[in-house]
Amino acid sequence: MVKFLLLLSLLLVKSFSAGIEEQRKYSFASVTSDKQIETLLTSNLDGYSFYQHSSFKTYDIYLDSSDLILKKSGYSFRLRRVEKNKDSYEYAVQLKSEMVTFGAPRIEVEYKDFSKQFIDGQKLSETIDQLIETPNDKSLSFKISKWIELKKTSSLPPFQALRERNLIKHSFHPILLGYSLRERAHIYADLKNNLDFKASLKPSKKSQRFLDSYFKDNPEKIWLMETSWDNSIFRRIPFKENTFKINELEIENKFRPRAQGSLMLDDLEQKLIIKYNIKPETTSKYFRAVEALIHE
Amino acid sequence: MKLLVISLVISFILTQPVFAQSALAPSPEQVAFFEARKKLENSILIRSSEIPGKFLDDKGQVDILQVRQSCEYLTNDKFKNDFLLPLPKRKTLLKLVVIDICETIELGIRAGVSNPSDYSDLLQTLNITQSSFYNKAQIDQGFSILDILKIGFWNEFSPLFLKFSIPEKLPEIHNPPDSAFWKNLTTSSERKNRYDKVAELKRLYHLPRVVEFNSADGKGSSTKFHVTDPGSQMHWLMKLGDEVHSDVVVSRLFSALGFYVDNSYFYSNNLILVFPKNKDKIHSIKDLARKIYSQYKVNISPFVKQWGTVDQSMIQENSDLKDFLGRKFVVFSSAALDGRSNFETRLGAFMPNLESVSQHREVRGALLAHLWLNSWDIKSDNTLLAFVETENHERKTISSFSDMGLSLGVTISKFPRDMKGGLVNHYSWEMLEVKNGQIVFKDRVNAFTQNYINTTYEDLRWMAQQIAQINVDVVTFCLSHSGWPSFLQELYLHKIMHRRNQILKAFEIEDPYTPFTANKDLNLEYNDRLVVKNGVLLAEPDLRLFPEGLLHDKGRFRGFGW
Repeated sequence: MVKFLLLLSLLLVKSFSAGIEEQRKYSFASVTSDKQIETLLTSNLDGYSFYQHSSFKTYDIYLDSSDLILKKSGYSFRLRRVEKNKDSYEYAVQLKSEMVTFGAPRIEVEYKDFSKQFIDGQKLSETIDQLIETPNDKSLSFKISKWIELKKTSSLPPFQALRERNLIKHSFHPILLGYSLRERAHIYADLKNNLDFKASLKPSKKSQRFLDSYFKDNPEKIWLMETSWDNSIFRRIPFKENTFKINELEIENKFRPRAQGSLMLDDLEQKLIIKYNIKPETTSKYFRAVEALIHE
Repeated sequence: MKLLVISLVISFILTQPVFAQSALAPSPEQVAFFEARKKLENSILIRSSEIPGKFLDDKGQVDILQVRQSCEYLTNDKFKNDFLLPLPKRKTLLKLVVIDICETIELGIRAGVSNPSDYSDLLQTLNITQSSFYNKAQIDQGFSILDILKIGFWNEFSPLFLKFSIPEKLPEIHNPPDSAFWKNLTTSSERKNRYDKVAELKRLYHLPRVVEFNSADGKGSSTKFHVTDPGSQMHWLMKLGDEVHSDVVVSRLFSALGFYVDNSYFYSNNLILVFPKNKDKIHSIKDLARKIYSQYKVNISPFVKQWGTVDQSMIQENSDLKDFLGRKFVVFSSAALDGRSNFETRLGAFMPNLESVSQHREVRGALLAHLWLNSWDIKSDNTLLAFVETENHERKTISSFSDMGLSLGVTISKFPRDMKGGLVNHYSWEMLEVKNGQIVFKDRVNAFTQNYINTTYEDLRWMAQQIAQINVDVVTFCLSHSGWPSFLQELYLHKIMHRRNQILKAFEIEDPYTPFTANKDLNLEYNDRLVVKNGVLLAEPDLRLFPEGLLHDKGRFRGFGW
């Protein structure tokens, strides 16, 4: 029933075209070393070139009701803090759907401007920082829940999405804290050096507006996909002893038209399976973490 | 007694400056509210001292539920219709701007900022945005019979309204502050460059030489279609017909006066339109000609300079064609490209009928600029509210005048129904007369929106002061982009400057420049023949180059005579 509703909601929310991402997740069937990952993220795999461009830490405070209504409905709802530069954080509130079938587009709606978000006279971003430092402080969790309540009738996209799915009436509070070290890389075709690709690849129709500056500066490189390697650890809020670790490779289609990008993603996937023994995953890190830590 | 002494001591202590100060010190939320509002004032907000009534509750306080309702209306795609009227797609930039405004209001209210006047700009901008969004939905439905009747009415009776009494004492007029409608410019160089500066704001950095056909527009009266620059992926609106020259000139002059305008550029024989392979049913110039004729009843064949299939020799000559080998193409002898930047979110009118908009002097005073340039089509739909995301990722509100091609000499015919602009012989030398203590304008317009109904002598005098700053150098520069032959540009120069001089005289404004003496009996030769005699264009310059015709009055609804 949940999968049916998710499929239906995918059709209904086609208008969320800006918030739909085609993303595939993989785990590694055998243990992976840091060296192996570094090699992957800087390699050229039969014409698919990888360019590792950044590495950053993220903290995710996952929110759900006491009876895990969001998890059961196939969504994850989180407050995210990203540390791209030292002492410089970016924040977002995000709602994401589970993948119905492997590789199927997921919906992600987010809001990132926290400059006007306060709770009880304190900046929400500060509350988030404090909760990350002291996840056992119930007063901070309560503050976060209070902010959620305040924004339920707002026009912030994640709350609009929750209303549309009749999920807004539930009370949400922090239940998991995730920490990830994320390595990101562009995957591209280098038309200058790769004649096979040059012959077969039509120029991407991706709008210049959404093109990363690396590709604006290097027009002979065509952005095909974006990949990230996440080294993550999850704990319950408030903390309990056990933790849950996930290592995951994500690849997102960045080529337009999407259908052509999907074909190239299929092709790369086969090559990765052969070389690195990767295994496709359909469930989100949140889903697996809840299963491991809360449904234990 | 003891209690009295204690309370007196406490009262004394609490009134000491250090305590009084802390009691008045703004909270972090209040500070954040005023900072957020200031940031929006410098970029997005349209100034207003009034608060729209719908956002106030019975006690005269800001009604947050109404604010949220407006916010939802403008940001939630689930609202697809307003009663039976289909609503336009809500683009990301619109949503971000509206959410920014609404979250700022919510922050202020939660922070206890209770004075409603602290929200006037925010609420008014939200109100204007919502009205403009709804207006776009109406525009998308096309013209109604009522709209046509209104145009007919105003064309007939506008001269009755274009009379302004001269006060006994000339008022002192000050410039309004810069706004979403207008910017104060001080030098001729600024005035000439303003057009390109605004284009840069919209990230229209590059004028394409090759564009790819997307779709035929179908709206309005002039022939146009949507195209894309394959290099930058930027969108443009390609136009054919009478407005391709006049729109460019008037837009540039309005820009030189400090107004925001659409950016239009004339092309002659140097813009290649390529057709898609399999998209739609339009693969060639023949398909396009059939489509245009069915929509506009205009035969575009006379406008075609060259057509065929892109081959290697063309690609060698023009590398922008490298991805189009084998595609059908066409080159028009006379066309214009109007920027539709991907970084600009266009709504409907900037709502000149709203009191909060018409209270701006610059919006009222624009009437004189229209009259100076014989800009006839001044209806509300030819204004535009837009949000722009600049290269620095800042957001800005731009309230523009658009579609100004029916200008610089306009004929309107009822039977047969027709209209045409850019006819120099219809751009009269005399635009006004001063009689019986009134300034009486001679030209007609097709609308009188609230802002123009509210226009006063003082507003016009302010505008006259701005027009005085436009010298012969600026006018010559603007005309140089028209694509008109040089002799026609010269004739227009004299007429435009003559009308400018009339304005200065009527409003008793000293010319800051060496007066330009316009020659109403101008005679001009071209290729050894007399083309202008006594200030009148004698013959069509060249129908091969200007198939729309620069002399005859067969216009848009008569297919320019073809």
